[in-house]
Amino acid sequence: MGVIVTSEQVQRPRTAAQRRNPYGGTTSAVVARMPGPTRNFLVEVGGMLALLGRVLVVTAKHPAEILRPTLDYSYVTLRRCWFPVTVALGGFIVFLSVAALVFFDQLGAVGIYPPVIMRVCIESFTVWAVALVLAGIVGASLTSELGARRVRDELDALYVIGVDPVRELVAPRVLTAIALTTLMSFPAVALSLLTTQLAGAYYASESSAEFYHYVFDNLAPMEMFLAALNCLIAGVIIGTVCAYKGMNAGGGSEGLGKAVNQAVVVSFVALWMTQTLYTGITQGIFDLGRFR
Amino acid sequence: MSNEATEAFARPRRPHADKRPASIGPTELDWAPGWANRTISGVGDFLDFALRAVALIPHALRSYPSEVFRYAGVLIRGSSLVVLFMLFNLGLEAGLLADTQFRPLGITSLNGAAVSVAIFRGCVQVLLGWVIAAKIGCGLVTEIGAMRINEEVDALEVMGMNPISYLVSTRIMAVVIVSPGLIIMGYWMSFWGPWLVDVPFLGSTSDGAFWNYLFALQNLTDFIIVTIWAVSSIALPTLIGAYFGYTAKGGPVGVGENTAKSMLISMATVSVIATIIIQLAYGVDANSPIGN
Repeated sequence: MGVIVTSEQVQRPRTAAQRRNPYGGTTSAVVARMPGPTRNFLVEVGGMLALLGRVLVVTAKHPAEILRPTLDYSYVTLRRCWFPVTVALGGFIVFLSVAALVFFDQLGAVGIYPPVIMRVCIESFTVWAVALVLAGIVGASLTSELGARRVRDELDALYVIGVDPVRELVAPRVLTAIALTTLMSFPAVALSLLTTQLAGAYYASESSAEFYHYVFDNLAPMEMFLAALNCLIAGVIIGTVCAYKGMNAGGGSEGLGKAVNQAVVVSFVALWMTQTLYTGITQGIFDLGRFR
Repeated sequence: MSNEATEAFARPRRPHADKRPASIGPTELDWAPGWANRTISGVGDFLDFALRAVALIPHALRSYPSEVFRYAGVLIRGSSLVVLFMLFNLGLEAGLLADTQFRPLGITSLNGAAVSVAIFRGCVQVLLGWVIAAKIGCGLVTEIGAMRINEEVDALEVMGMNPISYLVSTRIMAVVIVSPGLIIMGYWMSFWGPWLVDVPFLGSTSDGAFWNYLFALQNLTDFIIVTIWAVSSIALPTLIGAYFGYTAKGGPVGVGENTAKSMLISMATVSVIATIIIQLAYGVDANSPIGN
């Protein structure tokens, strides 16, 4: 445990309006008049953004104290998830490669298979698969850890003894999800490069020299940067959604299970929507599809 | 009574120990490392559970038909919209990517063909499996796991009901009833997504060319293969979720951990199935009319 803070410091109201009534502002009044589903959605999104904001503030204030548990937790998580991620991603890329090879082989244009498949992988499918698998594995375990503490009232106990759970428990886990998803983009792209090359060699007898020549001739560093940025956004979504759902779990084992289920489904939907938006926007801005 | 008589009438402690055939051998592999023993026994347990659940489907249909249709209704109301929305989103992404890759080559009229080869034969099935693992598989772990923790499963057994038949076989039958409609509507959504991007939004393909190439590159054989593939991608995560729910132990933490574990195993399994089926079905014969 790090530096001990009092519970008053943890839950201190920030402004005069908050001191009078924390939900008395204009925004809260507008949200309270919304119809049920819209209100719930806005409240959830607001809670997630508030949690993310608190995590960022806490991290900026005490970077040295949070770095150590983040590294420890990242190591544990990476040990747990490297194999399933490799299997899931490898299988996904193999069938994608076979589908693309079938198509270009029939067209008599195996030469454009390498750049097209690698571009499709880097711009979308590798990032997508990594984000979904990490949401399923890292996100679900994050929610179940935090939710179990919430269900057994351990988070309240931490408040009582004057320890800020966001600083001690949530911030390292959210930062782990962000860092792991972002850093995972590099080995994932390397794995897709290897898998697509092996598929090309196995199914279409394409030489590796030709494959790598075409790939590196047609890819730009900007694509790798965009993939890493895409993974960063995905990591922020996974960490925030799953931590929020874990912190707000309730009602015994059924409530905890429901929280994990909701965390995975909500992060899936959010990831797919941001992915489509991101691809559309980056393709529109950068015009990456040109062949050399 | 003499000592000999006691021994003669005493029940042997392991009655079948000497009757076991020698070929079966010890159930634990002493020479193998611990993780191998755990994996093998876990897979064996799962297969035992899955076979029993499938074998009890006729019993479930005979005894608890209302439970089957109740759960089918729950699936249609609760899960189908999420799944269809995800597949529509996949279609949007695919249309966007096909356009960005084919525009520089000047073959945007083939956008529909790319959708037919890459999305219809693979992406839909894998992503469907992942979404089902998140929505239905995790939901089953939660539901059945909470019942297990609250000792409701034992209560069912005490009342003389078969818990596997009542809790698992009914749900699997419900998934079997719902899945064909879900899969076909999923294909439909994943065709209209790219149509929306390519024809009205980007204007890169004409309406006629899109549908012509989309249906030119698929036939009944394709439909049968991918539908069998999709059914297996739906059935396995469901069975895995039910297994991890049924074997949950250790309070809320156990349910949370099992939810995360079922997610991990389902996602890797769906990818492995994809690799095997694409190899079996399309590894040698592309089953497409170009150049034939």
